[in-house]
Amino acid sequence: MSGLSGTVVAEKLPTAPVPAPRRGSFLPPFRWIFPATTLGLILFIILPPITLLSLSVNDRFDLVWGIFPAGVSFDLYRESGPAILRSVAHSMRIAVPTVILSFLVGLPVAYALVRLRFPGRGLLAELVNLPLVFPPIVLAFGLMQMFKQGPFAGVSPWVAIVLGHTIVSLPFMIQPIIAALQRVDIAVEDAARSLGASPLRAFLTTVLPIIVPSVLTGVALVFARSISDFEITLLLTTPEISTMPIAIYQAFESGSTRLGAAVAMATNLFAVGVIVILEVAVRRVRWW
Amino acid sequence: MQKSGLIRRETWLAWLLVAPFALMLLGLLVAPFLSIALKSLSGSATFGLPFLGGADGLADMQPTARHYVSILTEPHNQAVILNTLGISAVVASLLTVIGVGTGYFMARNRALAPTISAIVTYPSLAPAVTIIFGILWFMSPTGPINHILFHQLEWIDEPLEFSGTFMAIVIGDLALFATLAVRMMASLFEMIDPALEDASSSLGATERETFFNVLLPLAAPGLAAVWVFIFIRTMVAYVAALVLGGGAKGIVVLPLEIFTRIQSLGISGTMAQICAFAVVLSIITLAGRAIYLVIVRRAFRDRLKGEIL
Repeated sequence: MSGLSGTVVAEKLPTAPVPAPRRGSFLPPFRWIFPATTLGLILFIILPPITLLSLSVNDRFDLVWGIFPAGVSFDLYRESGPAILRSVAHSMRIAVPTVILSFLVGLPVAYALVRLRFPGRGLLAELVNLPLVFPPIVLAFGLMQMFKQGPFAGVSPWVAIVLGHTIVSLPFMIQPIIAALQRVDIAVEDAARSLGASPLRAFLTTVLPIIVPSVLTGVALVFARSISDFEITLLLTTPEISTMPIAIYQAFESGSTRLGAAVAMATNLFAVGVIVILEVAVRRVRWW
Repeated sequence: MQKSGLIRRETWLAWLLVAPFALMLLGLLVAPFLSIALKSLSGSATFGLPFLGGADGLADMQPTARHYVSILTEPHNQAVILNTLGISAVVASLLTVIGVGTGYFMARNRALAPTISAIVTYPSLAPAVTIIFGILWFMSPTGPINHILFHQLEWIDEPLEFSGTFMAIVIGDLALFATLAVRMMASLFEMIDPALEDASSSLGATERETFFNVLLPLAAPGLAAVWVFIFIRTMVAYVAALVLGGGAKGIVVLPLEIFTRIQSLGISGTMAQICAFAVVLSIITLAGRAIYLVIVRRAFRDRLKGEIL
């Protein structure tokens, strides 16, 4: 991509007079296309959730202009409080083990890919991203067969969901750690080992503290992937398990749009809040 | 001798470190998929997957390709495949265009970029179901679009029917994958030196000419990569189709067809037919991934690694 760098070319070019703007066109200036597209996209992204928020706090079904609440009431949040808390607890019961398992499995893979040379390394580097593109419905179908009728038929559905989430989340943990390890000088680790530290101790005391921000980024990404997962959970879940996306889906499917909106907004607030806190933590740790 | 011993030791250590991942991938993804592929070629009508709790062994396979033939020949199945490819192509094309507009604006406006990025990232943080239900309500007969067009302005005689249409799923998927497209495009345009635009302008080219004759040709391989990436991500997603597709009589896409058939397994359809659908979807997706990797490697030599996975 050497052609992308045009600094040298620009320096040698003679300065030509800027042509006068063409008159007579009714079209807006070309440069307006970019902010206009951006504004359109932003409205497209924020208006539907704002409408759902209005619906969840409106004291009746109809909204003013279909967007704004006529009167504010938090009754729906009070009514659906236990269901919301239950879905948050269920999501956390799946997301936390998923994050821990992804870290324990992903960290050694990232380390091996960056630091070690071994036969099959290229293939493994490709396979790391396979769960990212593999159709979730096919993955969930295979897991459903294994855990409902197959060799793991007696295993708890919680375990099946955690394993399903872990498989699809692993690339989100492995990639940031790979990027961080590539920036850490191997001499740091070698120095610790030359002073008598075991390989594990050298890694834990010299490398791990440096890559903590990237590990936290991985944690945030895996957490976000897990708590927002709907497609895998829907096939593996049982009536007793109601994660946040499943609770939202069930509330809307039951025909209660306003209740669904309240559950959706409360769970959204929780999901986005936790991820923002993790992001802030990453920035703090980087700065420190 | 000492060197080969060290290499052997490093190999052992590496495989010891990656063993849990390799086992998980083999046991939970590769093995079930191979079993699904085997079942898709079986004429047996039994439930369960071969070697994973199903009654079939290799001897009971009764090999046949009729499940694949039915995917290609039955009108309903053909419609499902065409809908899937059509929706994915339209979403990928629209997001490529939108991504160019927003991504370029973000790349050249460093002050506004973080704010835009934060807003655009929202759909990837919130549960997809929320985004899709938000759109469902927004376009519903009582939502703001119909409220303004029908009640306030009286431009239409009856509320627009949105649910169950091709465009409904396209709009849902646009919302879900806008984050990916915009962030990838922003990274792409950040790689292109603004000095090239200055050089083009100083030679007398208009903004339009600079954009179409200088920037777009430079970004073309990246645009192709983003298009393929969004295409394969849209192909495997079914939340938008599930909520906005209008049910079995509406618009059905391949992953939703698989989901619906799994739900009705035992009432109608066969396990082997579901497996054939699953294999077709996986093969198209993995082929798309391979094309994407070829484009990225040839054009960027892995410079986009990290942002575009």
